Amino acid sequence: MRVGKFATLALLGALALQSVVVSGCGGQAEGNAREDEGLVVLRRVESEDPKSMDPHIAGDVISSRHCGMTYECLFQYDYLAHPPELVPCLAREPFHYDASTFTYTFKLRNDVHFQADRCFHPDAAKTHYRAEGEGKQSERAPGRRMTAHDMVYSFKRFAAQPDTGGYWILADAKITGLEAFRNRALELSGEGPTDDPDALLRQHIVDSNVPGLRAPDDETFVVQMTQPYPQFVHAITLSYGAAVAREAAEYYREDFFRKPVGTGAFVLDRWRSNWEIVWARNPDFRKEYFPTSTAPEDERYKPFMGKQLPLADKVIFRVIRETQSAWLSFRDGLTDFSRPDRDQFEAAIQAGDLSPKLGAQGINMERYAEPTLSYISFNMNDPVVGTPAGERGRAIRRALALCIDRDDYIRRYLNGRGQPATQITPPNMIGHLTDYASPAQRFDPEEGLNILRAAGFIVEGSGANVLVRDPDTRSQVTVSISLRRNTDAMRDYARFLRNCGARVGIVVECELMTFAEWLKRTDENDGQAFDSGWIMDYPDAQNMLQLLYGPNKPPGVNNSAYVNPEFDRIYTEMVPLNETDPAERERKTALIGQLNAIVDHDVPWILRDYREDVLLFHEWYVPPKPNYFAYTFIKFEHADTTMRSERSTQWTKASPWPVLVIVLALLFPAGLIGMKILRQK
Amino acid sequence: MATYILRKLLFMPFILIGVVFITFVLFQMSTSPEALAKIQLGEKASSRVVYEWLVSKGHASWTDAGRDKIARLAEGKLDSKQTQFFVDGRLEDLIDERDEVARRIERTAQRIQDRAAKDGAEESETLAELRGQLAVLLRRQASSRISLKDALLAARRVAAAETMDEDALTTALTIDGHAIDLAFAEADLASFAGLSIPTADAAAAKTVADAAFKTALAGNEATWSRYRAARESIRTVEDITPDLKYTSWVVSFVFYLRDTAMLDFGDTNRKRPVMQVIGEGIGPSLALTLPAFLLAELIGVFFGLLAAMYRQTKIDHVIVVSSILLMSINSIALIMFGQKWLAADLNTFPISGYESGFGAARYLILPMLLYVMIAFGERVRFSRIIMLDETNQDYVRTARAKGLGENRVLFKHILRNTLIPLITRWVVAIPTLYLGSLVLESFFGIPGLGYLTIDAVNNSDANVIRAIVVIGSVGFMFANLLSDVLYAVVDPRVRLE
Repeated sequence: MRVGKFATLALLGALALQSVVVSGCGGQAEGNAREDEGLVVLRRVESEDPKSMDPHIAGDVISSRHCGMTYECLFQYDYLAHPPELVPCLAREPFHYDASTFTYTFKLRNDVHFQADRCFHPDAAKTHYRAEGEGKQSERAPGRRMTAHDMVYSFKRFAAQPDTGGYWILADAKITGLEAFRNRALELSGEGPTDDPDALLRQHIVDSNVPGLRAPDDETFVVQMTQPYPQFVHAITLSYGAAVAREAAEYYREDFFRKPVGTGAFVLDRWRSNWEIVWARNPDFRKEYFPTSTAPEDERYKPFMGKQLPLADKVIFRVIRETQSAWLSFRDGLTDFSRPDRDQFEAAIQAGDLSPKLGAQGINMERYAEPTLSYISFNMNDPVVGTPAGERGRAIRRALALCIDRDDYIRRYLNGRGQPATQITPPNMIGHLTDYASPAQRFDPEEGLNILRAAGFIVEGSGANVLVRDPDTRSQVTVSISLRRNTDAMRDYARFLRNCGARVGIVVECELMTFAEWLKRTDENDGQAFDSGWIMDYPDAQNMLQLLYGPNKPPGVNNSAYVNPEFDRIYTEMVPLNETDPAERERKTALIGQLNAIVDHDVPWILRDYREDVLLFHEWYVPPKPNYFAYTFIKFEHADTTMRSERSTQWTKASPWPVLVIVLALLFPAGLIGMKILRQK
Repeated sequence: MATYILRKLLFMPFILIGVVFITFVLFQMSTSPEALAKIQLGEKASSRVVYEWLVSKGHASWTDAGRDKIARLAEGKLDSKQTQFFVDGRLEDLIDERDEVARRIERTAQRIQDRAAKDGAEESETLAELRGQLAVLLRRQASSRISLKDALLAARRVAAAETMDEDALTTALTIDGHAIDLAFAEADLASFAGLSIPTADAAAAKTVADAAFKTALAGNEATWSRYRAARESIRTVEDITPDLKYTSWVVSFVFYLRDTAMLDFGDTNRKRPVMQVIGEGIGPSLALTLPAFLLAELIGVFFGLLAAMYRQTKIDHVIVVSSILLMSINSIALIMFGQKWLAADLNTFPISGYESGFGAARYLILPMLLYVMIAFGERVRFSRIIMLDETNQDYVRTARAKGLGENRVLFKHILRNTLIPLITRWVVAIPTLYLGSLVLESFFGIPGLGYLTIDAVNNSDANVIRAIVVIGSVGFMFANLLSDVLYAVVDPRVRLE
């Protein structure tokens, strides 16, 4: 009887406990719905924190995206135009270019203000962030108007950064006097007093006059160069061309990378490392409207056309490192879209189409061609595969380029999301040569062996047992490739490369390392070959070809240290040619053809693939038009928050059973112990 | 007991000094002071800034020459970025490297010569191998020579800076560079001529020599004279006066200890104060691991007790089999499955996320539950074994013989005595809890210290690693003290005297 009573009480207790726990446990969607009520909120995932929100330093995609939330440049990409097209942003009209003096004149808007911030408070002028601490952040002052003087300051600040990812812009855009300014800045960097090592650098940025950067009045910004550089406006549309307030940079100093103060549509509400980054609508953002279009493919954007930007009140980025967690969050409607990784892709996409289960959930899919190239770059200074090895080195490079089965790689490792790379410039970009496929970059291992034989290598055996020996040392030819990650996927890839090398009798050894180590290796030109990739910064072949331009050798972007005077000469001739001029365009295409031919001959790279992006999104989210050069597009994005709240709440109705089972699993043994005690009594 | 605790507390600083000393030794062995400085100050930090940092951290002290150089820099007589500083120890290393490589090259070349004579026309694999070794040594020599050449030129730049304008200085240094190359090339030619080895490297040496001569002859007579003078006046690295001397390790350690005592661990590689970053992550980590740990221990004892009470019955067998089963499942698989099934499919728990304050509780229940499941088997088996072990002790038989009830024997005697090995376990585990659980934090988006630790190791973030080690050792010392007190509480035989 006593045991029976105990059991009944235990069961009732379990039920009560489970109802309490379940009501508190699940309900993530309800929590989000409560937070989002009455607002337009975009919910998305980042795989890691941005490295920096300093627009003049940020170089990676995640950092650039967050810089684009609050910082603006003179121009931005038209949200609806495809292929990509630039339109004014901080500028009020298209720029004026004087070809005789290589001078750009930009007329600026007069209604742009920096966001309200502590740095504009009169008290902040005498001190800096680390001295004041976080406590003073609530005492803000309204942001002041952005003028052409801010653009001059920003360009100088960008040029003065020793570790900017955009130094190639400075190398290519020969702005009058900027090189001397930068050299002096690099000399002064870190040379100030021990307690403020960058004091001299900050002073230099303010005091120095760069003849090529002028602000005749508050609304006119003039940039003068010593030679033409047609890609200039594209280049300064990256965050490196963003307007930064001197007050902000000088107040936040070394913390400026996590305290952004921009003119854009959003302000940083909170950034909690490894947790979340929340952007809120900038209440002081100028009046900017969604563009209009009558094109049929823009039909889905019609409800937003003419509406004031930003469309969203809040953008919440959750930092989720594990792809399973990110995927499950998307599937439950807690985030708006997902880019599935390899494992999830297999579950989500069947025979190229979305799985019926996801389709029934209202999930949609879109595929975009990414302006990227994945490649393996040989270290041209290496005595085995580089220039010092002469014809033999070239033979090894050519053989390796011919042993990679690119289709197999794309099928196995990219779930078919890609195209074999046939030339340096990805499709749909200016300078991509239609109907051109590099003869050096195809799958033909037999031809690879012939090349090695012709170069004097000793080829022994055949088929899978083929072996290539160096004629001098008689040792087997071995090439080491540095891979950028140390993950299971990379280990698979290493196995794939080893198998490819075996087809032409070359031992391919892969060194797996962290990205930081890989960068160090490439910067120091330490290694035989590097697994590399490039996401184009703007849609022009020059952006890819610069990676093989001699003066850009390490620590520059030319990580293979490839130097060919003929290539450099043609590249230099190609760079100033203006795409919009028919005659120059024709010349440019011819020169790009010549550059491709040189690269086909020298084979400093193995071209692997152009990636394809697959976006899965819920029906309440309107996906942006594909544009991988624009980092300011989030202000145009919209999600139907009400629909998301309803759907996700409905999909995530909590089941009480697990809690009941767990509680019983604990109570049952407790009952057994209780019974034993009672019996022994 | 109070005296004991006080004495232990007084010992703590000494133990901590010992721990700090060990980390100090490890860092000294694994990273050079210059490398540490570069991590803190950035790769592009100038020589002056790096060495000022070393002096401020007690690794080195200025010599008169160094102080003079600093003064000339302050007066603007030297170019800040171009001026190199030389530390005594580093110069010695350069010299040692040069001599060692030269000796090995000579030995290897001699062996090649002997082997070639022995092989005759049929070259053996040993010969090919020796040639490979020689090639590696020659590359090492080339790299060592670049360092030597840089050092010599940098010293010359300082010596001549105040007497020449920038253009003249550049020309003079170019000529000096050629002269140094020629000196090296001549040494090679002499060496290879003596050994009669026509290697590619000897040919390269000739090319360098030719180029140097060509450059010199292409100029006018003044250039030629300057070149001759440079050739004659080339000093050896041994002649360069050091600007700094490494301090003894005692001085470096005192500085290191001072910073540690003030919890001044510097900045992370991402330029954030280490203590601020740890402060942000420690809360979420402890919020997950502390309750999860306590719950796992409680459940372990609970089921261990149950198994012991019902030993050799079906209940005991079910518990043992379940323990083995849970121990056999890979923990990551358990987490992935648990997250998918319990959070995503059944929606009983949130998939991932975190909130500050009490709001965090709902995000922590599932990770805690999975932590308990992962730990269940090991905890239960451990508890069961120590309880069964205690059951067979003499004092238990005595207690029963005295006529004590089974419940009293179990809860008053057995359970109390099993706490001793359990406390020993907890002491080891508790101080590591602040580091969180990397995998659980990663899957459930908990912003704890798990990733900070891994990132620190991956990025060689010495300051973070040092802070984590020091905090861990302080935690361990307090846990150790706590365990002594708990021993005394649960075991009357233990007296803290």
